[in-house]
Amino acid sequence: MTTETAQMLRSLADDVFGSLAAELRSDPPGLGKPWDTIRELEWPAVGVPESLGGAGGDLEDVLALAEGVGRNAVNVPLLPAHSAYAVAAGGGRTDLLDKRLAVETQPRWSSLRVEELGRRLRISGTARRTAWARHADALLIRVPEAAGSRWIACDPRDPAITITPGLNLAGEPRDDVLFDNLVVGAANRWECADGSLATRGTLLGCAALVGAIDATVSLTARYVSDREQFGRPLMALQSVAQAVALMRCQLSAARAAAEAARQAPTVVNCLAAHVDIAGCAGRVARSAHDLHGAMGVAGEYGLHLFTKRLWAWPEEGIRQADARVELGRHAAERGAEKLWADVIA
Amino acid sequence: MTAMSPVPPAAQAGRAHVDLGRLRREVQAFLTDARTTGAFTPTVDCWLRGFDPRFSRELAARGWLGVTWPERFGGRNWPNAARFVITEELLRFGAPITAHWMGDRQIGPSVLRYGTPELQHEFLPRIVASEVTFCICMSEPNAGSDLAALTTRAEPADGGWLLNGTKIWTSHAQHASHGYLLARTSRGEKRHDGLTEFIIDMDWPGITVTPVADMSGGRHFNEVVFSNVLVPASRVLGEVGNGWRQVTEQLSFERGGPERVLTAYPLLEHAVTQVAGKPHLYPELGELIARLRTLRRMALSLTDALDRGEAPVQQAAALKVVGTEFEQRVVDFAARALDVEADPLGDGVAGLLAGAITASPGFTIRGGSTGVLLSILAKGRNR
Repeated sequence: MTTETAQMLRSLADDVFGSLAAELRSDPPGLGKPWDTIRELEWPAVGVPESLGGAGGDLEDVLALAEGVGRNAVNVPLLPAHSAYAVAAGGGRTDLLDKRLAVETQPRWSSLRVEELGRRLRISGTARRTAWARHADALLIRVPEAAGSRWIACDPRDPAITITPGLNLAGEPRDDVLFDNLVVGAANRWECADGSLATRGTLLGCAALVGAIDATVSLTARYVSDREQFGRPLMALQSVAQAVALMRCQLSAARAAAEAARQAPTVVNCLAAHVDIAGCAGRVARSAHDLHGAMGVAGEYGLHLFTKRLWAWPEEGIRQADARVELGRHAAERGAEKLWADVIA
Repeated sequence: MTAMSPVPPAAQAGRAHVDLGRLRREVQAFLTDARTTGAFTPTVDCWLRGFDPRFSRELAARGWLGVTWPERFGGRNWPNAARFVITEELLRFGAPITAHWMGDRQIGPSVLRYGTPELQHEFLPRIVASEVTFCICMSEPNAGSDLAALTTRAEPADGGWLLNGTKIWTSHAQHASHGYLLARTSRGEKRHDGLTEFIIDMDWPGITVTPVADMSGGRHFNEVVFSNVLVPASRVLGEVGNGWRQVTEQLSFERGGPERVLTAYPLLEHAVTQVAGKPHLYPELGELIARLRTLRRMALSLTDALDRGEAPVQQAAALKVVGTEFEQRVVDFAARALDVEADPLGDGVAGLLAGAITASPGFTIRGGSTGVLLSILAKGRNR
């Protein structure tokens, strides 16, 4: 796959996710036929080089798929699976690519102790809010002491592991994983020095948010065009039309933020995109519900599928409050002299 | 809102290759030196309040004006990305660029698009050399956001048109050698029909310029009264009666540039300096920096669209809406973050802040108020 395929993937993702939507929205979420379809399409392995056992394609292709996940509000573990694939492939662990689902724990929500026992490792503690852990065949853990480049794989069915199910606001599995002195052999640890993986998750999250914002704006514009009050479509009211226009401005901004980060994906740039897109997401969600009135909160109407994601995703992985402080501190410490160079980097 | 007509073939022809990194370093070196030697003091709103013909001629001497225009008019056939590099550096340094701004940004491109060869040869090389200065005579006492309500009339006369009416909020009319003017030449069924654009000399008989002080005491606004001013037929810009379409296109040049993001940038630099050690201000600063990166990307994308000959009317309006809101947030943040209070008589940052606060209401008004722009966006795509 090449950069040119991103546009094709974008529309294909809408087709595929759209057709799987009903099944995917079943509650509680499972890993049924939709996930097999997605695996057959090799989407979890897109963006992982073919030489490493992946499906090929570049970052833009992966982001096109991530945007599709958001735009269609589909409950599939494509993004965590992709991150896990990339980490495994980067360490030469192609065997893990054959697992039905591998996911990684979140350092942000983990308090894990990893001890060396000769060539083996002993792990204890809890990895909270792990995406889709209950359905995983492999769990990947980044060893905190090793500056982010050392990884461990383990089997979630090991008796030393207890998984307590949880959900995020959007109904996506976010499970707590308790490690009770789990022992892992040397064969299941590896180094993955690919620095781009540190920001990959943030970029994927940005793209998914852009997709969900896009869908929210479209749905809202359609609703106020169809819905009549005071003898005419709501859209005919100037305040409504302007509110929709402002939502479109937020969507343009969110797209620009994601694109800026993709082109220069440093840690700080990705953090900046995440913060700005999160801001857009919050404003768009509020406006969408305002314009929908009571219908927007009705269970059978689809708006909440998107707005719950707009509320949930910005706080996953990294807290907005922390990210803003981090960006401000970075700017203050770099000083006015370097501000401009950083902004245009 | 009509879509923009295609860029003239001459402007669209293969652009010269420019090493943008090198160009940026050259502009930065020049500006750093000029600032150090006191050739200018950085200001907020420098593109509206930094009138300095000598500085503009310095830029002209370096070949940095009208860079996207064809070489036969003194331009360099550079891509719009090159103009973007030059303008964003000028803006972020807070350099005094008002004297050439209107000509370089919108009148030149309008003349290039609609002007007769005679007008093009008369004005484009002189804008490039910064020998002429333009003011924009659009707004009237009863035609602000509703520009089509203007009542200034141009009636056919011997050798041209006879102009009568009053314009207001005309920045730098007192210094300008020339003016761009929109007037009604006929009254038809539709109010957007019958408008015509003109290029005028500001020293023609019958033109009276009276200053209008703004709330900071600044003297850039004027009222301009036209009393039986004879305008030669050759000074019609474009087609008689097609002024509305032409002016809306001109406004998209006006709305979509980095000046809709960077007006308050010099103040942001001061705030960053003084925020060190005030961690309670970090989150807000972080948000502002994140948004600044986004807005700059939006402006850059518009530049690419211009090069591709696309019609970025909608994107330009969107950028102005969110960009100018950001500029006002920067001013509000600086007022809380800086160690000084705003002082109109103050030196340095206290004076800078005072100027920024009083200039800031204009950010979301000039060039189309946010409300008007949102209506344009809504009409452009209401579903």
